Amino acid sequence: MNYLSMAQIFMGLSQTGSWGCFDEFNRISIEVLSVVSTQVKYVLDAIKEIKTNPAKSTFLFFEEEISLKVTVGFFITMNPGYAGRTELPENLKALFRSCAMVVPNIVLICENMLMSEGFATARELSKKFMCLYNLAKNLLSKQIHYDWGLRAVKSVLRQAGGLKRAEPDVAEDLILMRGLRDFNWPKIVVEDRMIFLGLIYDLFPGIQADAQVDKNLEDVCRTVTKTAGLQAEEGFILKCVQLAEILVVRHCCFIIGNPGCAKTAIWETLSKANTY
Amino acid sequence: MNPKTKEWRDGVLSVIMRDMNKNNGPYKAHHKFKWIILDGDVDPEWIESLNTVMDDNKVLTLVSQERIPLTPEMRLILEVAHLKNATPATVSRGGVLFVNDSDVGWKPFFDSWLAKYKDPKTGDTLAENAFILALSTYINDQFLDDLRHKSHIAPVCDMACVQSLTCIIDKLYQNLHTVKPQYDHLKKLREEGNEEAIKNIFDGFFIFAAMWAYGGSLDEDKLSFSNGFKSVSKIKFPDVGQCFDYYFSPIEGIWVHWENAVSPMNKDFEGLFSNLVVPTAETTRQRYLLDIHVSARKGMIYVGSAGTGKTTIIMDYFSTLDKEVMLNASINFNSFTDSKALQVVVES
Repeated sequence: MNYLSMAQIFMGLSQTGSWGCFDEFNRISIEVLSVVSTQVKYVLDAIKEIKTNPAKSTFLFFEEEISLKVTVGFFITMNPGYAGRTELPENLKALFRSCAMVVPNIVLICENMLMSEGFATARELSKKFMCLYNLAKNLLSKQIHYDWGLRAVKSVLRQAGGLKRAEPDVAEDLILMRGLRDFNWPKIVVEDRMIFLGLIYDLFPGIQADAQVDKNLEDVCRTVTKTAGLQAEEGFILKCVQLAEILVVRHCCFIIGNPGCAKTAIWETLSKANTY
Repeated sequence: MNPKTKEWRDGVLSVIMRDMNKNNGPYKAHHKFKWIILDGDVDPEWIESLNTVMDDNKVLTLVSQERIPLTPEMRLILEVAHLKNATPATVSRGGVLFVNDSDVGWKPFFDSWLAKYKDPKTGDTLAENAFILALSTYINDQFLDDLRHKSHIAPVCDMACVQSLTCIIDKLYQNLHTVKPQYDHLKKLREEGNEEAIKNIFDGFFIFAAMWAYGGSLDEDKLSFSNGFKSVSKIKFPDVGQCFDYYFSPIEGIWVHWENAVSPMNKDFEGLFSNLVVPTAETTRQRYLLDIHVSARKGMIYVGSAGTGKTTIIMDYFSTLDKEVMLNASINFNSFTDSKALQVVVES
């Protein structure tokens, strides 16, 4: 973003009097931000002037006379303190009122989402769900690719909803447990596997659920692997099938692993298997 | 990958996404899967431009105000070694498949490589058995674990070691069948039915390859590695010096000091005196390894502090190559070299 494209946005907003929400605002570089603060100041000053003097309806915005509707408003959302982000300059901060956002009570969100997905025992399940995620956050090793936040919760719940609708007669806790386990399994590192399984079995005691595997896809993967002159090891095939499962529910996926651990071979095999 | 922001020009990614979306070019409407694979390290600079694509909006917003929606069959797959540079905002947007080192590991690779020797027509079961035995003798978990605690000059992973191991063995094996005196020796042994001696040769190959593949990148711990390796080796090393000082001679079936392989200095050298390279045991063995990798068309990396002779060894090696077959170009890098500058040099 440069200051000219920002000016375009501000002009458009002021002329129509609409509100604009700038997401990830602090990703704009600091040079542009300093100009932006002047631009915002111009518009805000003009609003003040028009309010005191209703006869006027235009103002001078960077040597251009444009009309202004006083309903115009600007909002910023941002995550402070990330890599690659800038700190907002003081003069820009002064033009906006800051408001700290608090992490929402995920249990309630979870309960409501479970209910809307058709789970009858939503209250109990949501407690278990969040308990698992809190424990996982604290007990498992700190991996940068682990995410136990709201976005992860949402995608698991959506998947669990899908499972529930596919098999409406199966017990609800079984469905949720399977969803939780199978959804998170691919990203758990080896050292954490036993801990994670332990957590799940403690929270859903006495429930045994076999992982549902697409035998057909597995066989195709195996054939493809062999035709490519590779070794169809169990671990490799499993990862291929897991990738396929992830891609069904997510449209974006990271394959993470050290160099030479068959990342490329995995997706190549799966793509060949899909078109087999 | 990064769209140029100053003056709008389509980047690679936006072109591909638009084509996929509109079924232009190679993409057809009947394609059920359209994947975009992004290989390489994640950097917030470019990955966050994809934020809107990765979350539920599924729309790529370009600076030119163009919006490209993701169709249901389109998927983004990012292939990265780690997410150290990614922000939590990015991580939470995508599904994660974590491939542990042990999930697939290097053993399948080794098996694939062995399959070549298993082939009944062209294969060599004797070699296969010898290599399997050698693998279990020398490259066991204990060995790998010890190696991980030693200090390396550059980061290495098991897979890379196995790759160099197989590469070196392949070349040695090939030499055995193409270099006349070696092949004659092999034929003689075959006729005599002396399997033990042939196995002994393969064992030697494996040890030689393993010590360079696994020990080549060690710096201070070379000595302890050498001692450990010398003690497990079935073909005994001479007591003097490190295992790296010796090469395996298939004809005699013993370890020979590199000094015996040093070619005499070129006394009639007519160039600048400073360009004269005097061969030593060190340069000879480095050249030998370099030759193995070059003929297998593999890259090599030399790491060392200034004045250790990295450039000299490589340039000396290049100067002996046939100019008709191989050309070389040295490219000096600095912090201002970007991909474009490199491309210009490579293409010229």
